[in-house]
Amino acid sequence: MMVVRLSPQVYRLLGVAAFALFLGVIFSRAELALMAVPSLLAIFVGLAIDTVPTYQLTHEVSSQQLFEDDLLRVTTTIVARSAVPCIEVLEALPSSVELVSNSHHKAFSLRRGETVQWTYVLRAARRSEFTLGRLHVRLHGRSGLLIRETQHFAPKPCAIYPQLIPLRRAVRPPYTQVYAGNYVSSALGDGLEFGNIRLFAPGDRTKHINWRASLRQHKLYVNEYQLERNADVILMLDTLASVGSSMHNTLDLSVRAAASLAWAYIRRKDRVGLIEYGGAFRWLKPGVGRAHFQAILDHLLEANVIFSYVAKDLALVPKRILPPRALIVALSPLVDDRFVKALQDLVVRGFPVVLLAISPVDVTRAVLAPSLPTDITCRLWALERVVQLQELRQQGIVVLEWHPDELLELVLSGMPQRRRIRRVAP
Amino acid sequence: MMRAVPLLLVMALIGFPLGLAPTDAVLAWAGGAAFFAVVGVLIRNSALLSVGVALSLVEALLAFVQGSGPLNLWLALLLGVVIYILLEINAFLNLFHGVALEKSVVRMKATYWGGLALILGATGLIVGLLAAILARPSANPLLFFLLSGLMAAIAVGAALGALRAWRPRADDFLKKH
Repeated sequence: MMVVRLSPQVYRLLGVAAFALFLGVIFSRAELALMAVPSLLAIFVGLAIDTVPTYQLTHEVSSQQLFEDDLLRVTTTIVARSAVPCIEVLEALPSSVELVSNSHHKAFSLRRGETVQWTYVLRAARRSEFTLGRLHVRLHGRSGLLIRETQHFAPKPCAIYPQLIPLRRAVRPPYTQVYAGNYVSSALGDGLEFGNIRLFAPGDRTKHINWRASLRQHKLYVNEYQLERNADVILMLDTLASVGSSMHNTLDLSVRAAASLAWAYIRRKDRVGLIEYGGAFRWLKPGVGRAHFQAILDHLLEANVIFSYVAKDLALVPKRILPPRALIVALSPLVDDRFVKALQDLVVRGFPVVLLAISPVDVTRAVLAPSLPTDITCRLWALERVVQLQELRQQGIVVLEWHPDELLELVLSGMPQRRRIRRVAP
Repeated sequence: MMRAVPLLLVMALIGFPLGLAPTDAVLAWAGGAAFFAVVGVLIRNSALLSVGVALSLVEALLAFVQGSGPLNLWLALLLGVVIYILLEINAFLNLFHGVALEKSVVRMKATYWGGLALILGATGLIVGLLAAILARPSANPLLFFLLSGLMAAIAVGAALGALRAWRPRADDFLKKH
């Protein structure tokens, strides 16, 4: 719907003209009355020559699925069906994107049949979901005295997924599961890694006979191999609290780490699940494959801090979401004690728990202006955290502290990588 | 850079009456008008500029009264045009502040203002002629009636044009209901 209204300029011109006429009449001066004539005449002429312009507007985006720091190109095309003296187009941008080049607010003057294309580039600053394509259009006549306003809405839903940090190695799960994967299991069977030698039994395949051992012992021996299995990994995200600003906070860092870990595990054929432990308790059951990774990303897109005084019990989580002997990778700034209690609960229930503790101290330092009180407070806070992390280690939780300026892969490599090698006596 | 044009027009608006009658009273009003107008232009506040223009009208009135000369219609018309152009350019700059403007928009506006200046000039000429005829006691009454008719035709044409411009609003109303 097009809204037509008079420009404020009309009222200004009328006001000045009326004042000039008033002075002219009161003081009987023809000059003052004459000074009002140009403004009045301009209003008449301006309104007389005004016409309704017709045009066609199209809007395109280069991609609707992006990762943080990706560039998005937005193109708007205007085709003038009649002469368009002045068309002003504005596309309101969400706060999660930054303008990189050109402008999202532009004005053109078009002749009949003329086509103009306007492109600007946005940078995806932080994870979010938003819709582009709502264009606010303002049409000015030649005089600018009449303004027509309308909106064009061609919705382009866009999603900015958390940035994936490349991880060549992630924390190795201590227990494997029944499906084929990339971890060498302690169980013996068909595989590539040599496991053991035993006496030949009926039904064994001849290609597995170890001829060297058989000749030495004068009995037939066969090689056994270790199975290659996958593992279950549950990523547990702390959404009870977040520290920092809207552009740099611990929750976004946790989400990035969770997405990167999910991709690293899914690439190894592991089953990956997700639990959001916060005011709103959300989860995603473990799964494998790219489609499941997309589901995890969609889930992480909506991860947000929802404050609640109610402490959720992990007993609410169904068993299929928390399978036995699954590795729990918890991501938290450890600001809320309820998350620590949940971790302790998991340890007591026999789950191997690895805590990736995102340092809120560094994030706070980055957000606040440097000052002596800030520095002292942060140092005291860091000391308190050292004690807190030490206590958690004593309770059987593997704690890896991540300072955001460090590489995540470097932090994960600090975890002792266990590799069971079973030596077999000849 | 673009602010220089309205500032020059403010100087012209305040300077012409001051040149006509450089008295203390005119100078005082000129000072007030200049302050409001310049501040209005610099901080992009149209209301302050309008106050400055209103004060400059009082200044012009004082200058015309204290100037003690004959009717100065040409200067009055010139000041009227300056006021219009000043308000227009300032409104244009404020409206498109922060907007990426294509050159074609500036060209279109410049053409429009140029064309309007021609119309205003022609109007001034007609008004001047009319004033000259009225000032002469022996003027031909037929010529006076012809010029009056021409002025009336221009006024009616402008009114019809304005009505035509309002028609789209009625169309929108009909579409809506």
